[in-house]
Amino acid sequence: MGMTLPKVNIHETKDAYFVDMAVPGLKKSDFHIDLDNQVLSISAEIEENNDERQEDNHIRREFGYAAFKRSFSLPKTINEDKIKAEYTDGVLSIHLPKKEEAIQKPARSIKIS
Amino acid sequence: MKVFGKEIGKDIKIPPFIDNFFGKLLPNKDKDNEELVTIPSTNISDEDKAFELSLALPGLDKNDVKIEVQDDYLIVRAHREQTHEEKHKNWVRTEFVSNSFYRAFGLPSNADSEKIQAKMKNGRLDIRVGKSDRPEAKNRIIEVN
Repeated sequence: MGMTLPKVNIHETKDAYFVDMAVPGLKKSDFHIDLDNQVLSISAEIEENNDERQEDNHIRREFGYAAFKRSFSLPKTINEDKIKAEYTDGVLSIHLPKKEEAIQKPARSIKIS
Repeated sequence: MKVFGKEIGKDIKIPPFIDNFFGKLLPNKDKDNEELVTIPSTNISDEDKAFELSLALPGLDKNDVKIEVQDDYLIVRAHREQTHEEKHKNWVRTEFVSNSFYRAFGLPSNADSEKIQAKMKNGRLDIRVGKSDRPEAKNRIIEVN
């Protein structure tokens, strides 16, 4: 487990959920996103080789991502085949569309005959 | 078990290994006139010729960042205006705020404010502050590459 567990923001729209994980300073290829039995796992294994700083020179160390894994149990309403992810400006954004039947239909009024 | 007369240990919650998708929200998400400012996590190391700082600014790029030196302080401000749509999203779980950051660092006397460079990639701001023998206090604004 790495030093820091990255934080997430999750929001919901009519037809999808969006998971944003704040992980600055990595590259797209560092991430693994797995889905197993309705559990979404986001992990990364990075070697800090581009960082020539020596351990004993650190005055302050508040974040670091040697390796981490965070898992979330997803609601059943997600269409697992259509999950997409991108990494921009240090935020890993995952788009989880809802299944057709779970998308909220607009309210209907029912006529009384 | 009691510590200083207070019962402890009963309310400890062990965080689950698998997080709930739906969770706690940070305060003030719905208020239009208030804003949370995040103090960015920073790594600082003392190298031979310079101090190296790394700040975590997820969700921002170099155009959102302003760095200045005022007296003996290095001040980093970063802000990105949120669209109305972003402010009123239907939040299910919030753990971080990424539109406003602020942090000030007291520069040590051997830091040379003339020798500061900054670059930013993938939401991480790297600042290099060169060292000198003669300390000088000057107000300057530094460009981010």
